[in-house]
Order: sequence, then C-alpha cells, then structure tokens
Amino acid sequence: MTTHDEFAAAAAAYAIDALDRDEARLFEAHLATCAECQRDLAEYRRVAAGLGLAVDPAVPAPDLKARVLARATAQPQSSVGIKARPTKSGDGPRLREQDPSPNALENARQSGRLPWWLLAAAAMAFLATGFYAWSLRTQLAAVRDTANLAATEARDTRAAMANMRLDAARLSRAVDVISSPDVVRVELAGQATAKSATGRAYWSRTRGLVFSASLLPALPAGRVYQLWVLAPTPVSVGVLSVNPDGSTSLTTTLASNLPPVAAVAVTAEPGPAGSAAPTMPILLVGAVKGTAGN
Amino acid sequence: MNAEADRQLIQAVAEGSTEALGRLYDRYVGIVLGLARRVVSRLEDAEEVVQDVFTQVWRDAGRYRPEKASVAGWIVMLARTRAIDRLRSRRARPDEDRGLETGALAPLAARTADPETVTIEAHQAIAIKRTLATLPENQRVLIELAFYKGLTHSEIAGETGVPLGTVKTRIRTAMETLRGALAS
Repeated sequence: MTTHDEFAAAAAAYAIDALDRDEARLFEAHLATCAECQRDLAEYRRVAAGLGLAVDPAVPAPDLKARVLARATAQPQSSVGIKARPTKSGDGPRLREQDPSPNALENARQSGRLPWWLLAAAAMAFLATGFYAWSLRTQLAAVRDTANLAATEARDTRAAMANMRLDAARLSRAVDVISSPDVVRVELAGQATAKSATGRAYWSRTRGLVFSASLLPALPAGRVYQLWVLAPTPVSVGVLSVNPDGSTSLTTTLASNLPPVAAVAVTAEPGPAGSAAPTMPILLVGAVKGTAGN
Repeated sequence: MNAEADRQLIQAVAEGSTEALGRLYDRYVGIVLGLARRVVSRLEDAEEVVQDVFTQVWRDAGRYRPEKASVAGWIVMLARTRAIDRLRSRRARPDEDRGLETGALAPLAARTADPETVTIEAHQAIAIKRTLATLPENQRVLIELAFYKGLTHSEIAGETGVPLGTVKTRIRTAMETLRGALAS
C-alpha cells in the first residue's frame, strides 16, 4: 500500500480486522496523518458494530444474571470510576484534631505513660502499615497471576497452531462447499419432539454438503441422530455426532450421480450405525428452495 | 437502544451501582450471548464471554467516554473481541468442540478494533442487518468469516481457495454496500 486510494480500500478491511498484520501496520501509520481515512474508518466501524448487532439475540439461562453480576462486581473498578464515588470529606479534619500537641507529649514523657489517643493513633498506624503490606502482597500475586497467564497463553497459542493445521483440511472442505458457485442454502426447522432445534445446510451439487444444527434434544440410550438428503428418495448422509449442548456439524461429499436434492432431514435411529431408511417422525427438515445468487 | 438511558446507566455503574449493571445486562445480554454463540458455538464458552464482557463493563465504566462511543457499540465490540479471544483459546482444546462453527482459523494476535471508538444508532443497526441478508452469498460468507471467525484476507484466501485479490475485492464491495446502508 502506497497510494491514498489503496489505503482507503484498506479502511474497510481494517474495521473488521481482516487486514494481515503488516498491512494493518502500514494502514495505521497512514491513518495517523489522514483525516479522510479516519472518517472512513469511523463509518466502517459503525458497520462492524452493526454486524455485531445483526445476530439473532439468544435467551440466557435464568441463573446467568446472578452469576455474571456476582463475579463482575467482585472485581475492582478502574481508578477513574473510583474517583467518581463520593468521599467522606470529614476523615481528614478528624484525624488532624487528634494531632499530638507538644504539651501532651511532654506530659506523657514525664509521667511515663502514653495517653489513650496516642496509643490509638499508634494502633491505627500499625494497622495501616499492615494493610499496605497486604495490599502490596495482593498486587504482587496479581502480577504473578498475569505472568502465569501469559505463559499459559503462549502454550495455548503453540498448541492452537498445531491444531489449526489439523483442522485446515476439514475447514477447507466446508468452505469449498459454501463458496461454490452452485451452492444452495437450506434452513431446517425442528419438528415433533425437537421443535426448538434449528439447522442449516449448504448443498453444492458439485462439491458436497455442509450441515450444522443446534439445540437437538438428548436422545434415549441406543438412539442416534441420522442425516438424510431427499433426492427425492431418502439417502443417508451419515450419523451425527452431537455435542452435549445439542449442537452438531458434518461436512461430506455426495455421490456425483445423486439426483437433485429436494430436502435435507434428520431423524432418530437405532445406534450406533443408524438405519438404511429413515424412521418417522422427521425431527428436523428443510426444503431446497432455489440456487443462491453470486 | 436508548442512548441517553444507556449513558446514565454506565455513569451509575462507574459509581459502583450493581443495580445499574444489572439493568445494562438486561438490555444487552441477548445480543452479547447471541453474538458469542455465533462465534464460539458452545454455550459454556458463550456464557464465559458474557461474563467477560460485563466484568469489563463494570471495571472500565469509569473510562467510558460518551462523546467517543455509543454504549451499544462499545458493548457489542467488546463482545466480539472477547468471543474471538475465546475462540482462539478454545482451539488449544479442539477435542472438546468439533463443530463447524469453531472450524475457522483464529488470528494469533488480537487485531480487533478499539471498541471505545464505535458509535451506532438503533436504526443503523437494523439497516445493516437487513442489508447483510441481501448481500450475494459469496460476499456474505467472506464477511462472516472475517467478522465472526476473525480471519484475515490471506487466511480466508488460504482456506477457501478463493484468490486473494478476489477476497479483498468482495470484502471491500460488501463493506461499501453495508456502509451505504448506514445513510439510508
């Protein structure tokens, strides 16, 4: 990137973090001196926020609020926030009223006894010192935690890099289907005992099928979910491996001589291998409506 | 989204009001959880994102500057950042999640936009949502891989086989279309 036009093109991608690192650095250097790019970026960031708000809202578990609030408010607030709190303005003057006078100290030295307020002040000073030490220890522990966290994250990152390579082939197949020119999206709706379940499939006649679903209810022992395409007679795509939260996904190629798919469906079948033909009722189904545009 | 009410709630949170944080939670938990589930898929992870977001709102409310960002923009971009972070850390334990939703590569370093400088109004958010649904599939998929899965241009090109130049052009075209929706 060297010309303003190229940087202007980069603003859109920068707003959704799609620039590669080197490009992002170049853009940031230009951004600091270019009011036009700053305006563009502000607009594109609005788009990014809109993309965040474009998702369908989810319904939280009833107890989530209590858990979230309890853990959040156990954390200290930033100093700016703390400053905004009202302070007890009377603390200072009250302490000053107890400042020892020269006469009092002299009297104490002569009598060999310290007055009660001086002992109290000493006790307060001792407590304050103790609190300060405790506070330092807490901060030190926090620093240690941060260092440990950084080390853990570094290990996680290395492991993540290794796993990325393993997943790349699977992802590549899925994206190959989703980005193919003849892809068709199929929305599946829950039926019968799985009414809350939803699913989505991408079918490409040339490249295969990508399927995902969520909120599938747990099945009785010995039963498994099985995915079918209706072409128009039912053809098994495979048994689904469902996560504990009811989500599942599957990417596969389909036989090249398969007639056009009219619908995608899920049924519950005897496990672990499933059935040769679907057992009623259908639990999730969606019809192929037409080819997506490009 | 009621911008003025939001600002008052953030101010009250900055002054230590748990009740105000609870009201912000009520207003935004649906969208935060929805966005988190879109990114990380697993409910447990998505709930942790919700926890992270509202903890940060509690901690940083005193630093919030209403002239720089709408509360909705701030919270939703916090949610996106935390969700992408969690997607990345989840990848270290892929055996716990084989879903397509987490199949995308995650960036190795945070490159997310500064959430404190995002402003958005309710009608603009609605316009973006409508326009997103009308984008050509081959543009929308790329935007989704970038925004909801944290992939860069070259990562998308590498994983999809779509030429890098085409990825850049489609993402830019889509973003320009969405930007146009802001003014509508």
